[in-house]
Amino acid sequence: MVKVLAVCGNGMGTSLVIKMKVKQFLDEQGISASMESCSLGEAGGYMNQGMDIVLCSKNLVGNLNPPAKSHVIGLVNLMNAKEFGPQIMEVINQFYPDELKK
Amino acid sequence: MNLQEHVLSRKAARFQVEAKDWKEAVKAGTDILVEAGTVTEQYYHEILDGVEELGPYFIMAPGMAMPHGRPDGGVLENSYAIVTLKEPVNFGDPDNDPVDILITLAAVDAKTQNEEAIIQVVTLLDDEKAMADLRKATCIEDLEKIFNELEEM
Repeated sequence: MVKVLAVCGNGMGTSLVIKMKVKQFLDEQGISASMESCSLGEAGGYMNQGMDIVLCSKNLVGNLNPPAKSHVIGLVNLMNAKEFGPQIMEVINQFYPDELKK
Repeated sequence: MNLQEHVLSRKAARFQVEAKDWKEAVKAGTDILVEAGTVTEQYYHEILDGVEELGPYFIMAPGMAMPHGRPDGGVLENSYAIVTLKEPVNFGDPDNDPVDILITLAAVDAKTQNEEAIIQVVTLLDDEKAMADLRKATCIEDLEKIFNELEEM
Protein backbone atom coordinates (compact mmCIF):
# COMPACT_ATOMS: atom_id res chain seq x y z
CA MET A 1 0.00 0.00 0.00
CA VAL A 2 1.44 3.32 -1.09
CA LYS A 3 0.38 6.32 0.98
CA VAL A 4 -0.30 9.24 -1.31
CA LEU A 5 -1.12 12.83 -0.36
CA ALA A 6 -2.46 15.43 -2.81
CA VAL A 7 -1.83 19.05 -1.80
CA CYS A 8 -3.10 22.33 -3.19
CA GLY A 9 -3.48 25.95 -2.11
CA ASN A 10 -6.56 25.52 0.01
CA GLY A 11 -7.38 21.84 -0.12
CA MET A 12 -10.75 22.00 -1.81
CA GLY A 13 -10.24 22.18 -5.53
CA THR A 14 -7.06 21.12 -7.21
CA SER A 15 -6.06 18.53 -4.61
CA LEU A 16 -9.45 16.81 -4.92
CA VAL A 17 -8.99 16.61 -8.67
CA ILE A 18 -5.49 15.17 -8.24
CA LYS A 19 -6.76 12.67 -5.67
CA MET A 20 -9.49 11.50 -8.00
CA LYS A 21 -7.43 11.26 -11.17
CA VAL A 22 -4.42 9.61 -9.52
CA LYS A 23 -6.53 7.08 -7.58
CA GLN A 24 -8.19 6.11 -10.85
CA PHE A 25 -4.78 5.77 -12.52
CA LEU A 26 -3.24 3.69 -9.71
CA ASP A 27 -6.29 1.41 -9.60
CA GLU A 28 -5.84 0.77 -13.33
CA GLN A 29 -2.19 -0.06 -12.72
CA GLY A 30 -3.21 -2.51 -9.98
CA ILE A 31 -1.33 -0.54 -7.34
CA SER A 32 -3.05 -0.31 -3.99
CA ALA A 33 -2.90 3.20 -2.58
CA SER A 34 -4.42 5.24 0.19
CA MET A 35 -5.22 8.76 -0.96
CA GLU A 36 -5.57 11.88 1.17
CA SER A 37 -5.93 15.49 0.10
CA CYS A 38 -5.31 18.69 2.00
CA SER A 39 -4.27 22.35 1.83
CA LEU A 40 -0.69 23.62 1.95
CA GLY A 41 -1.26 24.69 5.56
CA GLU A 42 -2.29 21.16 6.57
CA ALA A 43 0.40 19.42 4.52
CA GLY A 44 3.03 19.43 7.27
CA GLY A 45 0.76 17.53 9.66
CA TYR A 46 -0.18 14.97 7.04
CA MET A 47 3.42 14.47 5.94
CA ASN A 48 4.46 13.85 9.55
CA GLN A 49 2.09 10.87 9.59
CA GLY A 50 4.38 9.34 6.95
CA MET A 51 3.40 9.86 3.33
CA ASP A 52 5.23 7.93 0.60
CA ILE A 53 4.31 10.20 -2.27
CA VAL A 54 3.20 13.82 -2.12
CA LEU A 55 1.57 15.28 -5.23
CA CYS A 56 0.91 18.91 -6.02
CA SER A 57 0.93 21.18 -9.04
CA LYS A 58 4.44 22.03 -10.18
CA ASN A 59 3.95 25.65 -9.10
CA LEU A 60 3.62 24.62 -5.45
CA VAL A 61 6.58 22.27 -5.03
CA GLY A 62 8.75 25.02 -3.58
CA ASN A 63 6.18 25.73 -0.85
CA LEU A 64 6.38 22.22 0.60
CA ASN A 65 8.88 21.15 3.20
CA PRO A 66 8.65 17.37 3.12
CA PRO A 67 10.40 14.90 5.44
CA ALA A 68 13.23 12.96 3.80
CA LYS A 69 11.20 9.80 3.26
CA SER A 70 8.42 11.48 1.29
CA HIS A 71 8.80 11.81 -2.48
CA VAL A 72 7.33 15.03 -3.84
CA ILE A 73 6.11 15.04 -7.44
CA GLY A 74 5.17 18.32 -9.15
CA LEU A 75 2.44 17.74 -11.72
CA VAL A 76 2.00 19.85 -14.85
CA ASN A 77 -1.16 18.41 -16.38
CA LEU A 78 -3.44 17.18 -13.59
CA MET A 79 -6.01 15.79 -15.96
CA ASN A 80 -4.03 13.57 -18.27
CA ALA A 81 -2.72 10.24 -16.94
CA LYS A 82 -0.49 9.94 -20.00
CA GLU A 83 1.43 12.90 -18.60
CA PHE A 84 1.34 12.42 -14.82
CA GLY A 85 1.34 8.60 -14.96
CA PRO A 86 5.01 8.18 -15.96
CA GLN A 87 6.07 10.71 -13.30
CA ILE A 88 4.36 8.68 -10.59
CA MET A 89 5.42 5.27 -11.94
CA GLU A 90 9.05 6.37 -12.01
CA VAL A 91 8.95 6.97 -8.25
CA ILE A 92 7.06 3.75 -7.57
CA ASN A 93 9.49 1.72 -9.71
CA GLN A 94 12.45 3.23 -7.97
CA PHE A 95 11.31 3.34 -4.35
CA TYR A 96 8.33 0.99 -3.98
CA PRO A 97 9.03 -1.84 -6.46
CA ASP A 98 7.32 -4.35 -4.15
CA GLU A 99 3.99 -2.66 -4.90
CA LEU A 100 4.31 -3.71 -8.54
CA LYS A 101 4.58 -7.42 -7.79
CA LYS A 102 1.21 -7.80 -6.13
CA MET B 1 -26.67 20.45 -6.12
CA ASN B 2 -24.21 19.21 -8.69
CA LEU B 3 -22.30 21.23 -11.27
CA GLN B 4 -24.72 20.66 -14.12
CA GLU B 5 -27.88 21.45 -12.11
CA HIS B 6 -26.27 24.47 -10.55
CA VAL B 7 -24.86 26.02 -13.72
CA LEU B 8 -27.93 25.34 -15.85
CA SER B 9 -30.57 26.36 -13.31
CA ARG B 10 -28.77 29.60 -12.45
CA LYS B 11 -27.46 30.20 -15.94
CA ALA B 12 -24.05 30.53 -14.31
CA ALA B 13 -22.07 30.64 -17.54
CA ARG B 14 -20.71 33.27 -19.94
CA PHE B 15 -19.42 32.42 -23.39
CA GLN B 16 -16.80 34.02 -25.65
CA VAL B 17 -15.98 36.60 -22.99
CA GLU B 18 -13.46 39.27 -23.97
CA ALA B 19 -10.81 39.53 -21.27
CA LYS B 20 -7.62 41.52 -21.73
CA ASP B 21 -5.70 39.56 -19.08
CA TRP B 22 -6.09 36.70 -16.61
CA LYS B 23 -7.46 38.97 -13.90
CA GLU B 24 -10.37 40.02 -16.11
CA ALA B 25 -10.92 36.37 -16.98
CA VAL B 26 -11.09 35.42 -13.28
CA LYS B 27 -13.38 38.38 -12.61
CA ALA B 28 -15.80 37.22 -15.29
CA GLY B 29 -16.27 34.03 -13.26
CA THR B 30 -16.50 35.64 -9.82
CA ASP B 31 -18.91 38.30 -11.20
CA ILE B 32 -21.33 35.51 -12.10
CA LEU B 33 -21.15 34.20 -8.53
CA VAL B 34 -21.51 37.70 -7.03
CA GLU B 35 -24.62 38.29 -9.16
CA ALA B 36 -26.00 34.95 -8.01
CA GLY B 37 -25.39 36.02 -4.43
CA THR B 38 -23.25 32.98 -3.59
CA VAL B 39 -19.98 34.86 -2.95
CA THR B 40 -19.18 38.45 -1.93
CA GLU B 41 -17.00 40.79 -3.99
CA GLN B 42 -14.17 39.84 -1.66
CA TYR B 43 -13.90 36.47 -3.39
CA TYR B 44 -12.27 37.95 -6.49
CA HIS B 45 -9.58 39.57 -4.35
CA GLU B 46 -9.18 36.35 -2.38
CA ILE B 47 -8.31 34.51 -5.60
CA LEU B 48 -5.91 37.27 -6.72
CA ASP B 49 -4.18 37.20 -3.34
CA GLY B 50 -3.83 33.44 -3.64
CA VAL B 51 -2.15 33.77 -7.03
CA GLU B 52 0.17 36.46 -5.67
CA GLU B 53 1.19 34.16 -2.83
CA LEU B 54 1.34 30.80 -4.59
CA GLY B 55 1.38 31.44 -8.33
CA PRO B 56 -1.45 30.26 -10.57
CA TYR B 57 -2.25 27.22 -8.42
CA PHE B 58 -5.55 26.35 -10.08
CA ILE B 59 -4.45 25.62 -13.65
CA MET B 60 -5.61 22.08 -14.35
CA ALA B 61 -4.25 21.29 -17.79
CA PRO B 62 -3.36 23.12 -21.02
CA GLY B 63 -6.01 25.78 -21.63
CA MET B 64 -8.03 25.01 -18.51
CA ALA B 65 -8.27 26.77 -15.16
CA MET B 66 -10.40 26.18 -12.07
CA PRO B 67 -10.11 29.45 -10.11
CA HIS B 68 -11.07 29.13 -6.44
CA GLY B 69 -10.15 30.61 -3.09
CA ARG B 70 -10.54 29.90 0.60
CA PRO B 71 -14.02 29.64 2.13
CA ASP B 72 -13.35 32.57 4.47
CA GLY B 73 -12.56 34.69 1.43
CA GLY B 74 -16.20 35.58 0.88
CA VAL B 75 -17.96 32.30 0.08
CA LEU B 76 -21.63 32.24 1.08
CA GLU B 77 -22.74 29.07 -0.69
CA ASN B 78 -21.19 26.21 -2.65
CA SER B 79 -21.36 27.34 -6.26
CA TYR B 80 -19.81 27.11 -9.72
CA ALA B 81 -19.50 29.24 -12.85
CA ILE B 82 -18.28 28.43 -16.34
CA VAL B 83 -16.52 31.04 -18.50
CA THR B 84 -15.10 30.63 -21.98
CA LEU B 85 -12.90 33.31 -23.51
CA LYS B 86 -12.94 34.68 -27.03
CA GLU B 87 -9.17 35.05 -26.93
CA PRO B 88 -7.10 32.97 -24.50
CA VAL B 89 -5.07 34.68 -21.76
CA ASN B 90 -1.79 33.79 -20.05
CA PHE B 91 -1.67 33.00 -16.31
CA GLY B 92 2.10 32.71 -16.08
CA ASP B 93 2.11 28.91 -16.21
CA PRO B 94 4.29 28.25 -19.27
CA ASP B 95 3.33 24.57 -19.40
CA ASN B 96 -0.41 25.20 -19.61
CA ASP B 97 -0.83 28.74 -21.01
CA PRO B 98 -2.78 30.13 -22.75
CA VAL B 99 -6.10 29.45 -21.01
CA ASP B 100 -9.57 29.92 -22.50
CA ILE B 101 -11.79 27.76 -20.27
CA LEU B 102 -12.41 28.66 -16.63
CA ILE B 103 -14.58 26.81 -14.16
CA THR B 104 -14.82 28.99 -11.08
CA LEU B 105 -15.46 27.12 -7.85
CA ALA B 106 -16.64 28.39 -4.48
CA ALA B 107 -16.90 26.08 -1.47
CA VAL B 108 -17.97 26.90 2.09
CA ASP B 109 -15.57 24.28 3.47
CA ALA B 110 -13.51 21.33 2.32
CA LYS B 111 -15.89 18.77 3.83
CA THR B 112 -19.03 19.93 2.10
CA GLN B 113 -17.19 20.61 -1.15
CA ASN B 114 -19.33 18.53 -3.36
CA GLU B 115 -17.28 15.57 -4.50
CA GLU B 116 -19.90 14.90 -7.13
CA ALA B 117 -19.33 18.39 -8.53
CA ILE B 118 -15.57 17.86 -8.62
CA ILE B 119 -16.11 14.59 -10.48
CA GLN B 120 -18.26 16.47 -13.00
CA VAL B 121 -15.63 19.19 -13.40
CA VAL B 122 -13.03 16.49 -14.03
CA THR B 123 -15.32 14.58 -16.39
CA LEU B 124 -16.05 17.74 -18.35
CA LEU B 125 -12.44 18.93 -18.57
CA ASP B 126 -11.33 15.41 -19.39
CA ASP B 127 -13.53 15.01 -22.44
CA GLU B 128 -11.91 16.28 -25.62
CA LYS B 129 -15.15 16.57 -27.55
CA ALA B 130 -16.88 18.37 -24.67
CA MET B 131 -13.96 20.81 -24.49
CA ALA B 132 -14.03 21.43 -28.24
CA ASP B 133 -17.82 21.96 -28.09
CA LEU B 134 -17.51 24.22 -25.04
CA ARG B 135 -14.99 26.40 -26.88
CA LYS B 136 -17.57 26.86 -29.63
CA ALA B 137 -20.59 27.28 -27.32
CA THR B 138 -22.39 30.62 -27.40
CA CYS B 139 -25.41 30.05 -25.15
CA ILE B 140 -26.67 28.07 -22.17
CA GLU B 141 -28.53 25.68 -24.51
CA ASP B 142 -25.20 24.71 -26.12
CA LEU B 143 -23.86 23.99 -22.63
CA GLU B 144 -26.91 21.93 -21.74
CA LYS B 145 -26.33 19.82 -24.83
CA ILE B 146 -22.68 19.27 -23.84
CA PHE B 147 -23.73 18.11 -20.36
CA ASN B 148 -26.38 15.80 -21.80
CA GLU B 149 -23.90 14.20 -24.18
CA LEU B 150 -21.47 13.70 -21.29
CA GLU B 151 -24.17 11.98 -19.25
CA GLU B 152 -24.95 9.54 -22.00
CA MET B 153 -21.43 8.19 -21.92
